Amino acid sequence: MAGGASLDGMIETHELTKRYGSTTAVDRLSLVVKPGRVTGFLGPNGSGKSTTLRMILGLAHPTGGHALVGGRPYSELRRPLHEVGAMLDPGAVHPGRTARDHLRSIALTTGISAARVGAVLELTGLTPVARRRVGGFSLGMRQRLGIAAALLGDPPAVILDEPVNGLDPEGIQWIRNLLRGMAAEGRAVLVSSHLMTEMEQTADHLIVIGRGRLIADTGMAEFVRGASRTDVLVRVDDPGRLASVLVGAGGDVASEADGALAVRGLAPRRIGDLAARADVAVHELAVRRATLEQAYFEATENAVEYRAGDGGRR
Amino acid sequence: MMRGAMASEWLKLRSVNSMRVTLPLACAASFVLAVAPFASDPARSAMSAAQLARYDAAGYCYSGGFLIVVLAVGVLGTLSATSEYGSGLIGTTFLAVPRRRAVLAAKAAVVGGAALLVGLVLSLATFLTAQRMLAGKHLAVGLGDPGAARAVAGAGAFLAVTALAGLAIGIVLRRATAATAAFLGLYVGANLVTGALGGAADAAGRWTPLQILKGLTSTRGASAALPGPTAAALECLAYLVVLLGLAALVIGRRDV
Repeated sequence: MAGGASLDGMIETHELTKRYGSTTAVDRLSLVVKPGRVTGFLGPNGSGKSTTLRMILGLAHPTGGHALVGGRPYSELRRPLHEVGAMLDPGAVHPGRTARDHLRSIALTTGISAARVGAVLELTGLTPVARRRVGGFSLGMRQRLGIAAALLGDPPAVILDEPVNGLDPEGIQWIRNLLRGMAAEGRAVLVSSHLMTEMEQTADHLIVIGRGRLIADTGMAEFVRGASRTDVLVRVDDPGRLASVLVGAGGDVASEADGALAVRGLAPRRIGDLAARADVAVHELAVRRATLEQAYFEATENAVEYRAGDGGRR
Repeated sequence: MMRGAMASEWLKLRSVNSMRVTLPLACAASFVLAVAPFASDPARSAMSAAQLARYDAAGYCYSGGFLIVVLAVGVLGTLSATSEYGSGLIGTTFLAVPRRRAVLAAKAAVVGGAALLVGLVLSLATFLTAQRMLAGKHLAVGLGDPGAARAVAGAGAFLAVTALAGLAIGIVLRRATAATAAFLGLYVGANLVTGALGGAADAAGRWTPLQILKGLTSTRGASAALPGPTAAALECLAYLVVLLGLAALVIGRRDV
């Protein structure tokens, strides 16, 4: 890995801004993507994710602020493929070219060997179709080809935009293991996805943006814990009696449609103790953890650019 | 970096069917249609002095069928840019080579170089075949005759200029349909316009690409609508400076 050791793989933006006319796509966004972990990049459609990634990679020019990869602007990287690998659009291929020639044309720019091309084809499971034209590839195969291209330079940082789109369950699991493995090797991995359950299993850290602004830059567990939806579901023989006891103990109690109680502010153990003391029979006591999806919806509620049902109003 | 970028562009150019199939086909069609008319030309003894004075055994090699390869190479030039913009592949290219003018320079070197090589081989083959056919009619000229070698070299070089013009138009316009239309407008449409206007448009006619090609290859002198070889070469240069300059300007500025 070339370049200054301490900044290897570090991706940062400072006050990064992109305006198109009167629309601000990215609004003074500052973030740091650190090596050694998978950072999930989340945000509603039109929130500026892709624009941000394109500015980091030098494909779009910022209106203000700047982005650095390994401490330098992308356009100044001498061997960019060895600093950061990226896949933005799996459709960005010439349909008439073979998978192998596509990768070789990228590899040649910086003297990456034919052996390395073979290695990434092998790694992404494309060796059997290496000599086939890309035009006949499924979306999943194109995703693999895009990832193969991103890995050509064995870079300390990897940026993948929606890498699991079009992949079958096996492919999704393969990506998950690949990303986790790269983070474990000390690489910075920045990955955007709309699949929350997938992100929950893959990412350690989250960067959430909405309307081009930073909403959250935090650990996965912390982000999910912060959601108000974490509560305890209690089913008892006498919900009315337990509810008054729990409220008296400082709990926040809501009734579910089927008579169960949804309790916040009290630990499960305390709820069980209080029920026993009140002589109420407990049939079920379950912690309902918020999912990433719920936490995400809460966080981005006010930042959804286009939402179904309100006629696409801003 | 430049060497790597050129190696990459060369691979991209030869790894798609447009180069492996379209170009050889266009060359073959061009060659056949360029030399065929010489078979029906009358013999020297059957020509009047005025006919003989006009007869351009070198220049005629590049006036008819040769235009097929000119148009094909120009369209392929636009395609070498628009196919990347159309698919988004240009983004991948810029990720590998962030200095965008280096990408343009590499593309220009490879596309222009390939077109020059193909052009010279084809123009020489056409010339030699045509002269062989004219030998029996005592009309043949040799490469050593006045203007003949310049016509052969000029026709070949004109193909390189055409490919580069196509490339630059493709980079500026990005969309295949728009770029192809603009290229054909410049190469064919402009001639239709100046032709229709007649003598009034002679000054402009000297600047149409097909008149430039004629100027480069004619061995029978210039006229009001026909630039001489030196003027024609300078016009080619002017086209390249303007079109490639425009491409260099926009390629760096635009978001991909």
